[in-house]
Amino acid sequence: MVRKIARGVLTVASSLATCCVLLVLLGLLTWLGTLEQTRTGLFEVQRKYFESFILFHDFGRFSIPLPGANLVMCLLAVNLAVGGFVRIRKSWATAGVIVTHVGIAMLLMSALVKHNWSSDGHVTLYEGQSADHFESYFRWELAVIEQLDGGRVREHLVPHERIEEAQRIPVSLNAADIPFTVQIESVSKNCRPERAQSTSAHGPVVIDGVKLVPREVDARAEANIAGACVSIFDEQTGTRRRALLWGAEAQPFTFVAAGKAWAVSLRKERYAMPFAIQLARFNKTEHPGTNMPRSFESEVQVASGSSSRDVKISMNEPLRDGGLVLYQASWGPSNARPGDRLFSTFAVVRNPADQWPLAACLVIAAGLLFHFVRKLTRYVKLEMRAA
Amino acid sequence: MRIDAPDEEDRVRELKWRCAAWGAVGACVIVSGCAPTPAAGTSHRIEQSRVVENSRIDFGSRATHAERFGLRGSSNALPPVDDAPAQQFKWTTPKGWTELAPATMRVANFKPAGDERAECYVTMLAGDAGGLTANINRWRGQLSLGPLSAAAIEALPRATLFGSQATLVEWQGKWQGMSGAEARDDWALTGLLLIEPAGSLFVKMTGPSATVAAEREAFLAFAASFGSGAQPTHTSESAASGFEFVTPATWRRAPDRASRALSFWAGDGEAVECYVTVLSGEAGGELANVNRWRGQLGLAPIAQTDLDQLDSITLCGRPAKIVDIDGASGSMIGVTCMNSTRSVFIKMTGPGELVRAQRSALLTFAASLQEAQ
Amino acid sequence: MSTILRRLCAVAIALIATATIHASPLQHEHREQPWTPEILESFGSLPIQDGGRIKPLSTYAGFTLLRVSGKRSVVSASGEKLDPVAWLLDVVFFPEAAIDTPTFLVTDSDAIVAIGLSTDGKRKRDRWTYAELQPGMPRLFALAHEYESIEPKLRSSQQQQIVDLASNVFSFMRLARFLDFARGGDTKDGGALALIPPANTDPSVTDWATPGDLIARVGPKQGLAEADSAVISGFITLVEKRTDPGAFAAALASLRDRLVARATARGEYEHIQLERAYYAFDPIQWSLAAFIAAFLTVAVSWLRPKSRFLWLSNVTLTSIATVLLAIAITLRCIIRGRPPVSTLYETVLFVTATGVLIAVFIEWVQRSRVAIGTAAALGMIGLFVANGYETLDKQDTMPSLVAVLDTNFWLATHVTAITIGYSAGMLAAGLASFYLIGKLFGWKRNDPAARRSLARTVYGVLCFAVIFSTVGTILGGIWANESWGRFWGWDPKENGALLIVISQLVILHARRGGFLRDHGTCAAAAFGGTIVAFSWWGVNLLGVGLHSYGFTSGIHTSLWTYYGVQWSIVALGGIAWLRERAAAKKVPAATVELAQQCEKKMRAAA
Repeated sequence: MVRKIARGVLTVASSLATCCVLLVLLGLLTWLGTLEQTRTGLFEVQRKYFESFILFHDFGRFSIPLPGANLVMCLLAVNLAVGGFVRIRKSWATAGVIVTHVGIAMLLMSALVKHNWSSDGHVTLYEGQSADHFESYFRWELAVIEQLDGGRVREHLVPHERIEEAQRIPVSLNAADIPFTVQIESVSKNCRPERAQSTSAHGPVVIDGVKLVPREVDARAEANIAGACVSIFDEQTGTRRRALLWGAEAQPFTFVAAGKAWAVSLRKERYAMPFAIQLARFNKTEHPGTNMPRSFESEVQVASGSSSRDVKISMNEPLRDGGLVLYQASWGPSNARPGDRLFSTFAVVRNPADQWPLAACLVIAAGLLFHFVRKLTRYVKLEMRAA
Repeated sequence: MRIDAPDEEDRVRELKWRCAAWGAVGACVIVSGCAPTPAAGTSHRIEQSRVVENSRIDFGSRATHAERFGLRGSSNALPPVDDAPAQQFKWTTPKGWTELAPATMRVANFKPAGDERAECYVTMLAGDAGGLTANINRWRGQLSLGPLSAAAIEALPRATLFGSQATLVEWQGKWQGMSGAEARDDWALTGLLLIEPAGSLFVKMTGPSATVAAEREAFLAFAASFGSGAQPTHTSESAASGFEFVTPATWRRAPDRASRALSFWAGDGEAVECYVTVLSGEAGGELANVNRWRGQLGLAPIAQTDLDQLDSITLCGRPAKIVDIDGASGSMIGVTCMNSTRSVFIKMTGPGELVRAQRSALLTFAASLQEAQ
Repeated sequence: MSTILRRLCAVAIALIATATIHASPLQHEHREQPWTPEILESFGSLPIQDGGRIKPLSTYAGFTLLRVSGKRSVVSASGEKLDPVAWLLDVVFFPEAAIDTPTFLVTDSDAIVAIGLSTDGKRKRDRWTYAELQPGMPRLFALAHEYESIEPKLRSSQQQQIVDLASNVFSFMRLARFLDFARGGDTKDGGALALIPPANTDPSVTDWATPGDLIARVGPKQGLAEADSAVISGFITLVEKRTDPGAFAAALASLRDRLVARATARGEYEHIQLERAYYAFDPIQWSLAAFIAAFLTVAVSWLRPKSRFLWLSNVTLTSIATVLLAIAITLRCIIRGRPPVSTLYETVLFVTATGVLIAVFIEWVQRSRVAIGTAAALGMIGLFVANGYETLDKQDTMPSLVAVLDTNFWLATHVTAITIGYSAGMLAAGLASFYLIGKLFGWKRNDPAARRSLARTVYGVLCFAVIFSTVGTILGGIWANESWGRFWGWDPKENGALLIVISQLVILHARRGGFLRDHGTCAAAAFGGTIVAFSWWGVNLLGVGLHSYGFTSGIHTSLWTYYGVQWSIVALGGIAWLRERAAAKKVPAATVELAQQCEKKMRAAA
């Protein structure tokens, strides 16, 4: 009985029918997701259709449940593994197909690695400036900062997930070396500060004559500026301070606790780079007589430890170093004239699977070519004979 | 298809265990998901910390929330000092109206009382903006109404705007809006058009007919209150003889205006205007003024650090920043020089190409400008 | 783009206010005779820097006239038919006459009403002269200025027309005033045509000058360099001699030689003659003609299917057309120094060429006369689309490329691969459509082997397609990873490519699994053609308002026509299938026999 069921499961899992159904579903999701992008932004669509396990698509008045692309691709991976190279008949006739399937599996693997173990962000530098960390585009962090001597500080970092959690329920945070408890009372994904007199019954909290007014969440995730209301409870003195934090604030909220100076700040997540990068010059050229950009190029110095080297980063020519890849992403100010000091923005990606797709592509191309050439020669022979 | 039997048995056994294990995990997840969460919230330890060198945080600053968030001015009851029109114009906001941030083309922008969809705003355009007839008929088109004859336009009533008698229009119709995409029935438009060869001012209130009718008096009161916001006490004197300067060859003096110490037309025609304004005190601060100008040209604000990067020249014996702003609707070059007692602004505006062509003339002029003794 | 236009509008308003085109001291001298071929040749072969590249003035004139008047010739007030170069000569040298040539295409006279002019005596879609439009211009530019601030996607058709008309009038004005400096008028706006190469050969100086630029460079103390002053006086002589064809031709030739010598010294005249030859010979139109002829022979051959002569002439014509198309593509590659595909226009040429080539190969293999017929049809449709696109887009089809596209490696690999994928997908759809329609009308009713062979061909083309679509799509991801750091971003263009790959994979797997047989494969492949079209054209139109006109609505209509045709064919295929099933129930014995026959043949083949 069990054998029978297991065999049945295996057969279904590896069958071509399953494969076709899953591919059709993936195609359907891709299509719906593409159309949906004209209404909502890419970021939301990506979450709803492509990074989900289940979703409800609105067809007019009806909401139809569909499996998310994430689920479909997991199932496809299983189908591919079981049907595409475990149970497939092995012969010269299928060799090309098997190799192709290996390549597809590599592609799926690199997607998995990228999805789970990569981080990305950006670093923006004016000519002459340098940095040793990069910033996320849309992940927020709460930094509780303790002043040390000599311009040094110790940052205690609360990750994005906690801030998201605080949208639903208050989150209390403490640590052994912090003499107070920070409670995130509320979080708004996108808000702007405004002056206000006093808190109204339903409106946002007013502190120090200012409130953070929630705004509609922008479809472009990087356009949202988060805000939070935090209270800082000093157990020794029994004092409670309340403060508003805003993602675009000019200065963090500062206070004194247990004889030390502290600051609390809501900011984009920062990631350390294993080297420091300094922008020496940014060059841009246009096609003559037009405003159409022809090339962007940043001359940078990459310093790690005592050594440093000069590198050029341009469109299609990123810098790969220390597991990070830096891309020429943007520049400014847009109204700069010749001789003005420019800034350059680099997109920074840490992706262990960075070059895997290239290998996968070669494997797939080889597999398909082998298979196709075999088929083609057979086809030509067959047709020539028939003709 | 060709699986050997013992192998398959192993697999099946493994599969069974896997199923059981996953089932157990699933059950745990479901149970934990259903467990009641404490209403008081959750508590976590902060796990990650690191030491950072060369921190730029000013722990000593006792900045208020408003300062931290870049909000200026003293209280919400008064129009904030950094608000764009506050420097150029003044007005009394009617009761119940909400003042919105000035947008591109809108020097003042309100949500009238009564209905969310109603709006009222003031637009200022250089020149006669195509003339009264064209503008009136454009507005009528937005309400799906046919054009008016010259006689009918002549017969329209008048009301006070900016101290002058402006043409008052009050119509109802089917709203089509600017792009024709927002059709609404039973809509009304009440507006004032003040058209002069040198510049035109429009005040326009649209909304559901009932709301617009109810807010009519407020609208007229607002328009009557709308006037120049300059402080003539300090500037009128210098407007006559306050400065010594060299006029660039291609510039002509333009008629003096109340708010301006000096006015010029740069180059041919009147497309590029350049003028000098003097205000007492810091006038809201350099950054606020620069960002106000950027706002007028539809650009996002910049930060103090960006401002610090800008070039400077000497203006009236003090260092001054050169601000170049290229907006969608035109360009502006400003030279700002501030201190606690007196602020001098030179501002040149007009179409981008023309303004840029006059940049060196502007800088020469600025360098020559001296306050008369 | 829109910002620039908006600024231009502002400048235009100032222009109208200050002067009109009439304000020339040499008023109302009319050209007595048509421009001589010699003058047309000299003027057309002048090099000009426009849109970031050096091109012949004839190319510039062609696309400018296409933009302004919607076609490549106009008829002057005196009834003379003017080609683009002659038109440009008129506008530049006889502006006071050119303002009476009906040049400005207005597709809907509502736009004319909106700028306050009367439409008496004009059709709804008509060409207007500059002089007729002049009274409405202040209003035209005021409106254009206003509408420019509306996002192009949200503009109504009329708003877009006003913006386009204003932009065209503005271009015309700048051309008409181009030589004002030589007429003793305003020297500031000599800016329309950058005809003067830098005098030196320094490659870091890239900008060519207009006469106005040269004059503006003159300082109070130093005059023009001798070489530059000769160029300027060359232009002045042209204006003076404009009514004397002989002297004009001589002056023009001498100026041309001077400018060409400068450009040649800088190595910037290399491909000008080649581009002149390309447009003069126009291989694409000849290729189209050959494809049409081939298609006609195909049509005739349906009446006489056995005629070897028709088949031969069909093969010959299609081959000639293919060779011409290949020549066109090669010339474009040489002129641009780029791989064959880097713009949407070029995808059309390349898809057509590769599709036809594959079809010719298939014909060579199987001689069934189906593939060659499809090749002719495909070639004809493809080149009609190319022409239509050029006319709708009205932009130079050899533009400069923005920074991210400026990489011959990725253009040669990813773009070429994905385009071959499109091409094979389209060809498969074409062949499959033939199969479905053929079946409905009883093509080879008694020859199941021939049908089977066609279905096998469709399958083969799909296999070919899947290689290029898959590899091309992944290469696209790798390119994106090289330039932006993300392999896949689910953006519409990427999704479109993925949809093609998925649809083709589904067909191949379903066929392998036996869910689709010949008929099903063909129906799916015919449907797949619409997926290719969606990815190729459709995603570019997503989110575009329906009340657009011209370019967008033109593509929109063609695209939906194609969808409609393909879907109908799939539906007809469904009917054919149902009929077959019904017939099979009635005469099961025959079906069994048929099936047995097929099986036998298959075995024999294997």
